[in-house]
Amino acid sequence: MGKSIFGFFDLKNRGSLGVVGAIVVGESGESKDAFAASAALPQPSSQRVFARVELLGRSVLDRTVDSLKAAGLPSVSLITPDLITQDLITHEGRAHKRDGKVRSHDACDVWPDVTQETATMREQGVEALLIAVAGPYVEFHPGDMFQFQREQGVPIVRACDDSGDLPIWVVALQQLPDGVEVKSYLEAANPAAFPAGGYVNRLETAAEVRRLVCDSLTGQCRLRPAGFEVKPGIWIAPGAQVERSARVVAPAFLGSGATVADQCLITRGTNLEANSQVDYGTVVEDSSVLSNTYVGIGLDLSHSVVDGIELMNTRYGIKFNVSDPAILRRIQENRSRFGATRSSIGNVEVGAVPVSSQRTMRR
Amino acid sequence: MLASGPVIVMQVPEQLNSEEVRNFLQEMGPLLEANRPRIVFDCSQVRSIDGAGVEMLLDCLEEALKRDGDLKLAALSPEAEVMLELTRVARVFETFSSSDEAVRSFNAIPADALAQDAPWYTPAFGNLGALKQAS
Repeated sequence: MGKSIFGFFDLKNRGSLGVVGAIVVGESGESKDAFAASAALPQPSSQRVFARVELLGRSVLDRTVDSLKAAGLPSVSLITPDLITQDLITHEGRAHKRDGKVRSHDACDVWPDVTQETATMREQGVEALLIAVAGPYVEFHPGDMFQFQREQGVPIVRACDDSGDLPIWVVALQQLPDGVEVKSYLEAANPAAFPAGGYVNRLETAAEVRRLVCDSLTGQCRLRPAGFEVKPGIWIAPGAQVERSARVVAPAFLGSGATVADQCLITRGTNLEANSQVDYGTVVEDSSVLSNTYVGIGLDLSHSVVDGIELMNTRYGIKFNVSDPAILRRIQENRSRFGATRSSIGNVEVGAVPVSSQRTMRR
Repeated sequence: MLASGPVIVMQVPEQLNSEEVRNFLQEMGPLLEANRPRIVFDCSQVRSIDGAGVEMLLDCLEEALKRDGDLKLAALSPEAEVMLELTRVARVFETFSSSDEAVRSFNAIPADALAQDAPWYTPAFGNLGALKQAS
């Protein structure tokens, strides 16, 4: 069985693992900063948690929850602070909520909820619990991690890679002391190291975001863009619009509701996320335009990640706000994109049809 | 404002927005009206530039060129460099890593001022003909 993002493994075929569960913790930047003081837990390099930002159509956090569910974990909880619930729970997230398997806890400090949820799962007979804190993108086999913990007979196991620890633990709930705070338990514990082995991207900087996007678009990792591959290397989600005289060069991704105006050039691994707009004549090269961001007329955007008015340049390693709304600005989210089923490139419509039967772009 | 011979070096403000542009242009006005203005903008302090700032840079360059002068940019901060690249303005200006370098570039001898019949090399042993005659 191959490596996968937190799963696509079948726990049903691993009877020896016992009853397992998972909690995915989507922390706010503030909570992560509080963690920065601890040597035992991850130290983020910035306030931003890129894992909850839509990348190639879906957030890494969203994908994590989904793959844990798909893996057949009987109990998965998503615990997110109120601050991020709104932008985290996209249409995919809402689907998670609807089916009742994923519970979202609205609170600024998520860890009391994590402690409570852990206690509940323990009462329900869960023997081993996977706790993943939103942050890095990790491809590994959770089944292997549960098995590793069981074989080692240790109370706690933590995933790691060549660069150090990752914020993923498996905790043996029967060995968890009564009434202990999960956060302090994780900080104080001396866990056995489980080598994740697969692709890891810590998603701490804009450069790492760009690397994940490019690796995905070029098939270097298993993260797949959420859209249709309309021609090799060009992925387009429903509702994206590309004007006739604009040019999209592979590899590239256009999210749902993204619009590209006339005379634009989108090239070199660029991803335009949902509802983003690139206006007339602008060139976007090796850049990520995050959701609901407007990029103005006649610009050259390169080696950057832009989110509203915030520009992060990977070449210089700098981040600053662009105060001119004619250049960059945040635009209102277009809710109708969730219902869109078709995209268009020039006068060619693409959408929910097999890739082989689509007409290709003609320039 | 720093003056270095006939070349004027101006420190560009940290925030190059419409308000700062107005103040900056008040200082710049008389300098641009001089004959053959030779100006260097030191951009090391610049942390943000908006559309008005970019427009001001282009206007100043245009005015300088109109009077047979030039405007050069020096010590661009990363923020200034990114913004000038983003707005496609960077390629219009000559840029230098320091103000001194930009000032020196004004005083460099233009290529077309060199005599066309002069050898492109420097003879290592002087005049070989004279050397042969002496021996």
